[in-house]
Amino acid sequence: MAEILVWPHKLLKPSANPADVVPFTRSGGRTLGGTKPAYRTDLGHWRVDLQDVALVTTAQKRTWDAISTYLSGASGRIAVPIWAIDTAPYASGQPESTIEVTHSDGSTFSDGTRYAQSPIAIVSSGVTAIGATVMSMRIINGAQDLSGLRFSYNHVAYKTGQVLSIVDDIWTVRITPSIAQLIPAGADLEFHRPTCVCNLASDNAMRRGMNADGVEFISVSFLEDTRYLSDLAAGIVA
Amino acid sequence: MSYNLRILCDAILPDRTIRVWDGSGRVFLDGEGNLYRAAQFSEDALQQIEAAINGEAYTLSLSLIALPQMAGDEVWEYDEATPISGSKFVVKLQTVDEYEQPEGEPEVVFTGLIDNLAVTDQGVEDEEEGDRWESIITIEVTNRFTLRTLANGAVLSDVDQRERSKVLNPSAPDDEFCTRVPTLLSKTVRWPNW
Repeated sequence: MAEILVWPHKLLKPSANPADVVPFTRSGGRTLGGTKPAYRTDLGHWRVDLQDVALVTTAQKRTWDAISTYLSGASGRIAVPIWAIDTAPYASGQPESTIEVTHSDGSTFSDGTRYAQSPIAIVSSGVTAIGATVMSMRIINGAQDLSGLRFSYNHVAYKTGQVLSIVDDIWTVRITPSIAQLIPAGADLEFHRPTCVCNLASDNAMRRGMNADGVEFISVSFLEDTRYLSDLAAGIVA
Repeated sequence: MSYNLRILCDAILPDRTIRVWDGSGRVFLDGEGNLYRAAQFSEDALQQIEAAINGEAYTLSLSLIALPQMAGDEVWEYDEATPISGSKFVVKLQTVDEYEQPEGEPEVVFTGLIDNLAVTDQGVEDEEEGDRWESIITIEVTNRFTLRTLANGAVLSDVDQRERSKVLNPSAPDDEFCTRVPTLLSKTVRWPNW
């Protein structure tokens, strides 16, 4: 798996993070009576907006420009947050922060950092193949409800829908869009801080510059890097 | 559930089959386990397919957009290396079940032969998102109703021309078009001077 840069979510915080799958239907238009029959011909792709990212400190502005250089327009690839902390399945029912743990003897890494652990532990149950839209998951630590959630695996984002069956702690749910990369059995699914691999929606979306009051609020839009996902599925990139 | 179908295209090239489906999203896996890449058809592509299916048009010119320039270049290179003219091109409709999985065999709605492949790079003016380059791949496909005696890109030779005119007009004298054209090369045409 190629290294994917992840959006520095603590430094560059958007005030809103609307992210959803762009649905795709074809229709013949609206009739005189007002109905509009539509056919779905596509499962859609993610569109992620980071609205009003506050750029106040020098570090924030520099990081912004560094990311902009890294992406170099709409062909660059980055994993951006598609957070839904308000709906994520935390066991306590309240938003929880990332748990930091030490080594078993209580020591930390040499620079004092500790292991980060997601407060939610939900793993896949059984292998989920490319193209699947139904998936089984096992809840190890999390709320006992898996419908209407967002999660990611290897920066590929999904939404869960209706629950199809519950057998013991195995939940089978409908997901959208379809699985882009095979999810092996027992893989950790990211519900706490899901991300989506994306390209910039347009070449100059990250344009910024100095302004008089030193504070900038920039909105930037991303579209899912579907080409990368297709390459991944076809085995062209690993 | 919702009304659902998928439009699939197979281009059967000499050494491999290119499979694309009309979608913006991720890969589509058909009933036989073939992967279809997502590539969006351009605005009028569906109409083109329809006209071709109905027999209103003998050629189908299908443009794939949402292809990055690099992919366009790759196709161009492939076309340069391996002639794809004459390869089979199939358009299929696949119905899917409530879980978006293929249901039954896809229905073949159009079969033709690839006649030409054109890759265009063009600048696009866009007020909102800024000007950019767009790479569009157009596959020209002919079906069996096409009345065309020459493959696209072929050169009409003297022999071809004579044979053709013999078929078209057997009782006429030998066609010397190709021998006469070069003699007009340095001919001076004078504007009427009364």
